[in-house]
Amino acid sequence: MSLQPTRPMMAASYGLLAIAAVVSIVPFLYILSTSIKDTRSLFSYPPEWIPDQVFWGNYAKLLQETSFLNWTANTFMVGIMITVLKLAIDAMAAYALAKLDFVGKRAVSAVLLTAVAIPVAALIIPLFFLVRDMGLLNTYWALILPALANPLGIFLLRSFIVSLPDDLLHSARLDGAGEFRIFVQIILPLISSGLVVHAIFTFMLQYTNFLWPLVAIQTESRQVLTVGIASLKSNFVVDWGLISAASLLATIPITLLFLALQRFFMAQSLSSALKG
Amino acid sequence: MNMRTCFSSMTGAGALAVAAVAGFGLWTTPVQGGGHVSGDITMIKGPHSADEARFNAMIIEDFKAVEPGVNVEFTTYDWANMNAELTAGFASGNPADVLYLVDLIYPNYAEQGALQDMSDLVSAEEWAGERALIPEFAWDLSRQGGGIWGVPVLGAVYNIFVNEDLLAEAGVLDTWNSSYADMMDAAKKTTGDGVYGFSVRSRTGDFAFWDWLPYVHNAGADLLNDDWSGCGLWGAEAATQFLIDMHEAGVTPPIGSMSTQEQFDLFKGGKIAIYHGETPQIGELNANPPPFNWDVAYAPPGEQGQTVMGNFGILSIASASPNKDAAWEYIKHWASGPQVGRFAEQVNLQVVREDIIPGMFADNEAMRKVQQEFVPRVKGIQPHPQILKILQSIWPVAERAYRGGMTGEQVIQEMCAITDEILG
Amino acid sequence: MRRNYVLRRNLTAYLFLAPALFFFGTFLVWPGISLLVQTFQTGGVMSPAVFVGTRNWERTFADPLVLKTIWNTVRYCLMAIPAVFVVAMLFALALNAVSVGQTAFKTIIYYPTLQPILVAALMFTFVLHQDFGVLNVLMRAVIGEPVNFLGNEVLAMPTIAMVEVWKGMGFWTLLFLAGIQSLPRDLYHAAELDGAGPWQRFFQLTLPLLKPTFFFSAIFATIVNLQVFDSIFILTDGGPFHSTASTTWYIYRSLFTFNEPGYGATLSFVLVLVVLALTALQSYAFRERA
Repeated sequence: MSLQPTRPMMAASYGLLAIAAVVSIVPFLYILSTSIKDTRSLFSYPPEWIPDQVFWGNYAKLLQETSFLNWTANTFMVGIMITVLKLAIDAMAAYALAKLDFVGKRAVSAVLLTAVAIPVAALIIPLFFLVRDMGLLNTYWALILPALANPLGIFLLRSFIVSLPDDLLHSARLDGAGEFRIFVQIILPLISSGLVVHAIFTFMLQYTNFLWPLVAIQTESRQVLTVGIASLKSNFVVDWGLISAASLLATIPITLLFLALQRFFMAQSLSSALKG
Repeated sequence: MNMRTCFSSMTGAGALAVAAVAGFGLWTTPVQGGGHVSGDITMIKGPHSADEARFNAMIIEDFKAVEPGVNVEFTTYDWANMNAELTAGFASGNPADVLYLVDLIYPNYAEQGALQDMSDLVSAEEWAGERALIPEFAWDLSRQGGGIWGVPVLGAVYNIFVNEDLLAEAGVLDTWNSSYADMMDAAKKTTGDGVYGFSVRSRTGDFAFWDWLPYVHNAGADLLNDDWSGCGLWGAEAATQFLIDMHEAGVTPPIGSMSTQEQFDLFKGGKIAIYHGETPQIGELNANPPPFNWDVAYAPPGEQGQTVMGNFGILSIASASPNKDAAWEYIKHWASGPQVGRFAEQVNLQVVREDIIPGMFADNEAMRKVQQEFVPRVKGIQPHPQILKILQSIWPVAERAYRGGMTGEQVIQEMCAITDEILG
Repeated sequence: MRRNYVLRRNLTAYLFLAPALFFFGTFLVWPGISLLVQTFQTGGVMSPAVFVGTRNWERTFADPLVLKTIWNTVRYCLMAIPAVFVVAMLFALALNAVSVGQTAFKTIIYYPTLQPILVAALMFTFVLHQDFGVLNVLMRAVIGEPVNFLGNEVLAMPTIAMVEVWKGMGFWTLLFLAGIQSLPRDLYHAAELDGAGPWQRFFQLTLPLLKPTFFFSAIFATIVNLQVFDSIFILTDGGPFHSTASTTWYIYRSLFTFNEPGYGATLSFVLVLVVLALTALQSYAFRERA
């Protein structure tokens, strides 16, 4: 859908996006303001949004006295690992479900779709025992392997592959291409926007996951960001300045990654679209 | 980073640690007074301060001087998720050796066999002197089902903070906590012009029941009856009605609109006259003094007494710990006067051992007052294995009642029905 | 010859499926079976499991809070899902219409999704604050008084839904945008030549063509939202008086706070059944309209 939008539509679009941007950003301004104040209050009465004196102590403390950099490195290593593996696994399965005929296809689909409905929180205890018995507790594998199980992404990618015309595959098969070559050379480029969505979503799920790393990882320096940031919160007097600084710093690398990812994929999808 | 090298370096570090431990056992010579145990132990504790790890590192450093053969690793659990984290630790078969547990949760772990019965350890002749310094009421809290499940070390008192300027302005500074009627009067007189006369917590997530319990205790009631066989709240009807009336009188912030943290901000801003809080907040008030006179206080006397709510923390040993000797040595060290005293001063908590109380908080007037005047009045909770479940299950009744339409009598009736059902 | 072909075709398909099925079997099916066994047990986490027959199931059916949490969860979905879909569709259409600044806007709109819930909750403490929260500043201007968003039992769940919409809109926007951009352009050119206006093109082309995306999205959103937990746990912990208690919140509480894994497992199965029933209903509805 790339028709030239009319002028009023363009204006309306920019108006809407401006509202979206404000709604997305305004809460961060509060966080920014809190992170550069030397106080353990959420609010002072009267409120002081822009402090007279900018206080960098929260950032210094975060980098010097906590394992913040470790947590960030762990989060990215685990997140990227999961995303890469999951994209490969899910895309392959999605292709089979969308375009290949085989015995038991309906059954496999039904079982996978049913399993999507199992709430992750409910599985934590049996999963915990499984990972313990495999001897993986307190390792990065404990975070990576269970994350590969959920078949949701298969259905996401399947919904992109299903809409591709079958003729494309037929002619390739007539040319003598094997299924794997068709998958890599024809399917993957065509569903790149779906892959981006899946990659972003997978990474984001991992990035914001809290409960599982909390129970699976015991060593503080091996922990991920969400649990790490929560551990900065003691129970009585909460150091909101430190937590705000942590959450702001934590968003910088992921924003960069997001930009890199989507530029890379969007360019591809544009070229494939032009070809198609 | 390459995953494989990362993982292999992890196992490498593990092997090194094992070798180091073995080495210590062989080569270190005992220091006088200690040095007879060795190995690696882990301690887990919820943070009482943003500097928790640093404060514990000091304790560990001093321990190294007496027990050079023991390596102590300190870790923390997140208070909001302590049950999940501790349960996972126990279930892993490799929990922390030493655990700081609060009275609200340890009985359940003890009942499930996750904790070591420490009766023999604490009764040992060599430790009798130390044991005697911890008062019997504190030991009672760690005694349950025929065992002793930890050494009581710290107490957290839930006190009231008052804005003396507001009370004086309303002419009620000397009378405000003489009786419940006076408290109501003071709350009404101080309310207005953006100021709320009174605030208690109401959210379950804020553990709001801590603020309600002193009123229950002052009425001679408690969560459970004397032999813990059923509900003991009968008698707390009027006290509960009083708190309902406070909310209906319009002297509190809109119910449920603020977390206890936000209420504290409001207090610091001079906008609340009578605020129910916790002693670690004293540290914040000392560090950033508000522009008015403030003091710590407790609730007015009820029909049966004038108590203060307190929580206790005990140091326990996991029953799965492979190194209970070292764990016990470390607990004795942590619980010793100089160590626990310094820590309590750092985080503004109360100690339970009586020998160090007189010298504590020399330059912290409010904490001294709490330690000397409030702690003897403390009445904690009954450490029944189901106590957390009972509290969290009955609290929604109070949440509803505070919003109107229910009498204190109805509240107690409903709460008792829930309690009796849980107790079976 | 023919049989050989069929065999190879099946083998190829299963090779493509093998990695997914392996992880699925090990880390989902197996724990799922263990969970089913747990519903007939008590203990098992710190102490050995004891078989208790159908006691957990009897308790589940006698517990009024179970029904209440299911109703709360469904109520939440009915608020959050349509809201986030409408908002995200509008944003996606707007993003698709602009060329300059598209990446910047996309990044900004996606930003909230990346926030760990602790941080999102902190932000919303600011936004909803009785005295200074941005929304209450607005409310004072519009209706003359602040609104007690989380303390009011009627408003608490819509407020949770609002937080989740804020957190989720970035993802759905990107998903819908990807769907829109993958639609064939030729059809639009043809429609334009036929004189179809933008509204007609949207309702007669875009929406029908996006049906597979919507189908997936509706099912997916239902599954994810029926498990709502983090925001409730941090913002209200199920209060005031269970008005925001979701089923997953109750599962978490049984498993970890009350140390009742058997009961928690049973509640989990109830939730699985609810999710299955609702997703089946949706599949049926979509098929009917096809």
